[in-house]
Amino acid sequence: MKKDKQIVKMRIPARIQQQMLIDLQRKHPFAYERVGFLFTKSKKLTNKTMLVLATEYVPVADEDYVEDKTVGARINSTSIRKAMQTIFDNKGGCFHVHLHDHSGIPGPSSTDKKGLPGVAESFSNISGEQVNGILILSHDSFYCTVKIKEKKKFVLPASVSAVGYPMNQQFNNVRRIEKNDVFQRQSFLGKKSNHLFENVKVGIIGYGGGGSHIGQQLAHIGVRNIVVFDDDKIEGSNMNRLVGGWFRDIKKSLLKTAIAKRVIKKILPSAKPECINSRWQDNPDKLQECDVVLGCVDSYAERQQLEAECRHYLIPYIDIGMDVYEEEDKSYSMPGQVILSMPGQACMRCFGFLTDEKLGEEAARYGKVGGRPQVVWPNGVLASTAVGIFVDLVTGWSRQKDKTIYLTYEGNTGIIKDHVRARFAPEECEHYPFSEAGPPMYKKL
Amino acid sequence: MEFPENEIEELRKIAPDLSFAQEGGHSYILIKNLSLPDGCIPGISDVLLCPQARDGYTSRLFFPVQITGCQERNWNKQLRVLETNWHAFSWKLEGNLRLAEMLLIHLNGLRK
Repeated sequence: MKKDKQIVKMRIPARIQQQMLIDLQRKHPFAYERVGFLFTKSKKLTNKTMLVLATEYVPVADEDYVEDKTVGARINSTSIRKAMQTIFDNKGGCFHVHLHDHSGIPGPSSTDKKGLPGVAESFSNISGEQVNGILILSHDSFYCTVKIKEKKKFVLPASVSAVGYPMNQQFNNVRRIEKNDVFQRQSFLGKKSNHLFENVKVGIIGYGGGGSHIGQQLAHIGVRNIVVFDDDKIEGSNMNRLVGGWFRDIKKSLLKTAIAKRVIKKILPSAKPECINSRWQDNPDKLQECDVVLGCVDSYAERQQLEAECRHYLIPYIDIGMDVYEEEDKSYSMPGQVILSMPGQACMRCFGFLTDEKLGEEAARYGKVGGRPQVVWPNGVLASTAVGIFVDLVTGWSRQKDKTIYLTYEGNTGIIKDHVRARFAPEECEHYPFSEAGPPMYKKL
Repeated sequence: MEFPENEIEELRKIAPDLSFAQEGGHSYILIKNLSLPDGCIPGISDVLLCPQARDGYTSRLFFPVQITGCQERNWNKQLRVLETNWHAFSWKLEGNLRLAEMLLIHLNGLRK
């Protein structure tokens, strides 16, 4: 199986990865190892990147194993037929999954190479447009090879990610990392941290007071693939908080994305920032391709839409926001929040942050709001906090696992702390089940 | 969300091509090739009905474009639902309506 042009990105919710690991380690009455099927949905983006999103894992039933001492596990045709029926019903794809019981990157055995491609090819015969393949798990890594319609041979995906806290991302396009002392002081983030920062693709939605801090910090950290979405041009009223904006930019009506590019490239010349001068809704493929999205948007409706899109494509979404309110006694309060919306875990609705009441009030106000008060320092605090979450998410340096993050910020006191609602949030999100991952599927009524 | 079969049947009499999907805990019915009230441009359109409360409305009807040639309405900012950018106008309905009633009352909002 030759390494080919890498255009496939695969995302597996960490919870499904865990489920697979637990299941595949169960003893079988006679087989040496177990097998399962990982069902997926694929989407081809406009730049030919193919996203593969895992939606469900189904173990092969005990009775569907065939006794054969020459191989680890042999499964019967009934199990393959059941998998094919699910592929047909879901209009999705499927991966044959088994476990190599060790740590580190697994590789296919000679039996795997001989026997498994045929299974994946059978899946492709009934779901040609979808990606099918073979997934071998180890305790902490994966080997994956996929069959896509355009290629005769199997190809290695560009990346395979277990989406959770922390992420477990494996990039196959290994590039030699330049040795210099730029990132010397952040070596505690882990040996792989520079490699991860070089390859992870991060979306910033809104390059204003929050987004400009984030863009700058990501470049300092060494994140090369930054996609900046903003359809706005800089104005005088932005200058009190848009980091990297120059006074002369106002006269030129410079696009905010152009400012982003200038800042990022000056800090990290090897960076490849992509400027999307439109609403993300008008360029959704660019968002769907991102591995992590940081949202710095103004409205609840925007947040709701962004979160929904990120959930469809199994993308962790980090939301920041702040507001300034005039109190009855004419004083001002300045609350803010940082929320991590992790696919499978509590969403912003589960947290009680997004409610129909808030969305309704906002919709009723639509068109009646002027520029709301915003200042640079809370934007900086919230953006820095979000970048800290992003770094931990990507590198896992703090060794915290399955963290729920809903932080509340009190601008008047400068305190940032866990929101009380985070404690009562459900472990699993009922609003965005994994079965709804991928492009929406309408069912006939 | 389960839709009562008799209500779906009523809806099918207005527009036969119906399908549904869910997102963010809300259910949506995609109604294809629906005839809009006289004068509307376009005259026929796919629409998306959310029969549940969302965004402060008891139900919502989304259109792929802003409809012209009809009563002028307060159209909201574009909303992305189920990976499509939709338009909707501000139109409040009472609760506890049948699906067909919901659809027709929303459409009445377009009549001159």
